[in-house]
Amino acid sequence: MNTEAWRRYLRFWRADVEDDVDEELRFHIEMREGEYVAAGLASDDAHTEALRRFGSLASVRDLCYRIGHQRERHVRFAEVMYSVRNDIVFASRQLARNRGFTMAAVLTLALGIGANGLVFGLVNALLLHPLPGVAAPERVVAVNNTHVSYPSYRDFARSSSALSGLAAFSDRNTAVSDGKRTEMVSAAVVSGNYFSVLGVGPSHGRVLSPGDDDPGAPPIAVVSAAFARRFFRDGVDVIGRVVDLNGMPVTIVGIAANDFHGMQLDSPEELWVTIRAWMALAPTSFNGLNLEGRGWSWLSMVGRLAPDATIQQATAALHTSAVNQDASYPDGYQTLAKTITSDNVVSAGQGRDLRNRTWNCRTRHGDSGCGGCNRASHSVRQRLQPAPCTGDEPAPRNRDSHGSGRWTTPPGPAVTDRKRCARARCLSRWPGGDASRDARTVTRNAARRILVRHGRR
Amino acid sequence: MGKPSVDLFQGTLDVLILKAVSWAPVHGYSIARWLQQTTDDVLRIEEGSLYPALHRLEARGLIEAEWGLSENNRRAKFYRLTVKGRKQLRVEASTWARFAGAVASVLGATTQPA
Repeated sequence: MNTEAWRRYLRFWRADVEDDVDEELRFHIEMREGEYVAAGLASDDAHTEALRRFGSLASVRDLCYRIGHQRERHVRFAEVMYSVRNDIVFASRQLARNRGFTMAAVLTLALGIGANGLVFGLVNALLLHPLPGVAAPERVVAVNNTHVSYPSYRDFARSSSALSGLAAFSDRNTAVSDGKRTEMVSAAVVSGNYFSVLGVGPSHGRVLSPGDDDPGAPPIAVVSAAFARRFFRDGVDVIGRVVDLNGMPVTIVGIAANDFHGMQLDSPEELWVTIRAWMALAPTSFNGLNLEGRGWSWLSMVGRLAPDATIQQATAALHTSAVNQDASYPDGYQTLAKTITSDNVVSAGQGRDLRNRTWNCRTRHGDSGCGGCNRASHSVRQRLQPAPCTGDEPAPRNRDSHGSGRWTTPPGPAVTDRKRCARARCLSRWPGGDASRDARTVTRNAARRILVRHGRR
Repeated sequence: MGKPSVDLFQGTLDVLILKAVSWAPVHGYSIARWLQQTTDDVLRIEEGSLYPALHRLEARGLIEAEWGLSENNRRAKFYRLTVKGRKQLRVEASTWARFAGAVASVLGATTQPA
């Protein structure tokens, strides 16, 4: 409906500004004219004199139009506001009268909005913004459901011609302190080429480089922009600062690109250190675990497709390497060839590691039959990867379905999953716990001793 | 005619109009005539300027208007004072009285400045 038609429609009950002004001014001039005629002036002269006396008819008319329109707008706005206010008051009274209905309506709306927000958040994170900060995320390949040892990772990295680079990473919760404040952050222990493989640059300073993997390289870290802002309130001179990481000093050499927060959907990485530095920094945490041993499977892998290479070629190359490794190290704890398949080698830029997450949930709540296992038990499960293979261990009795490590049980009475989960929880409540223990040593008595020592029982 | 005319101060017309409509509803033409007769045409108000002033006062809520029939049975817009307008008139009238009194006492002074 155009403006004119709308105005015509309005005129049924609302004054028309122009018509009203015209009529009012015409009335005035005609009355004045009549007065002059009565005083003896000729009709034409009377008209001229009336106009002279009136002044500039056109400008007065325009001014009156303007004032009238402005007033109309105000009146209309006031009417709308008044009716909206009345509606709100009426609705509030109705709602106050029917409490049950109100509660149901509010709950329905809240749940609906909440569910929509959640779904949109997931869609946004998984489909619209997969891997923020990562260059060409569709060329990034993640190896899901698979943890490998450091030497195994290096074998994979060497053999994969279809990948222009393969990086390894492992998420660790770490205490960071600058002497004044201490904070637990979600850190990632990564190979030196992590940033170059993901195509992530620094926003300040530099990111980690392959050279930082060399034995004897100084302990350095890169932090996320969000962490730099939060932890160092002043936000200046973050580069070159030395912070304590689990009690050991590391130098911050750079801040990663603003929106980059690693490969994890649910826990954004905020600090990155190299694998070498981590081992040097935290020897006690990994007491008995040998970086060069193949028994300690703890690294996830992510790669970037070489130009013109397809994900099928990359999968085939990784699978071949896995088969070779299985053949070369038959006493290894994993059969890599089983897990390095097209099911697990997926494009990280599309769909992310949703399947990995699903798998985690199933393992924690379904297969294990342990509904009470919390998130902490997941990290404990990672810590409880088997000890390095020494060759004299009993043959494994129990191998889990995904093959990325296993729970082994001591000879003797069967230990149920539920009991193992409970023991794992004991360890998780034990900060800085003795990670050298593997599942075999977490006996019922050991768990009890831990709790007694910490005054929990 | 022939008498010296006086220019109106800014805003003076408003208070004159408020006074003019303070008795009964009147239309613009009769306000113009009343002003002319009451002031003996000293103010020589340009009649056209009356209407924007009337409409502004209406927009400010000091007067309100409705259409009615004039003395010669023609449709005319009649203005009357609102409660708000009456208060305003009282305030402005007393301000004017003080102002005029001050000017008069200056002009009627019999002692020279020290």
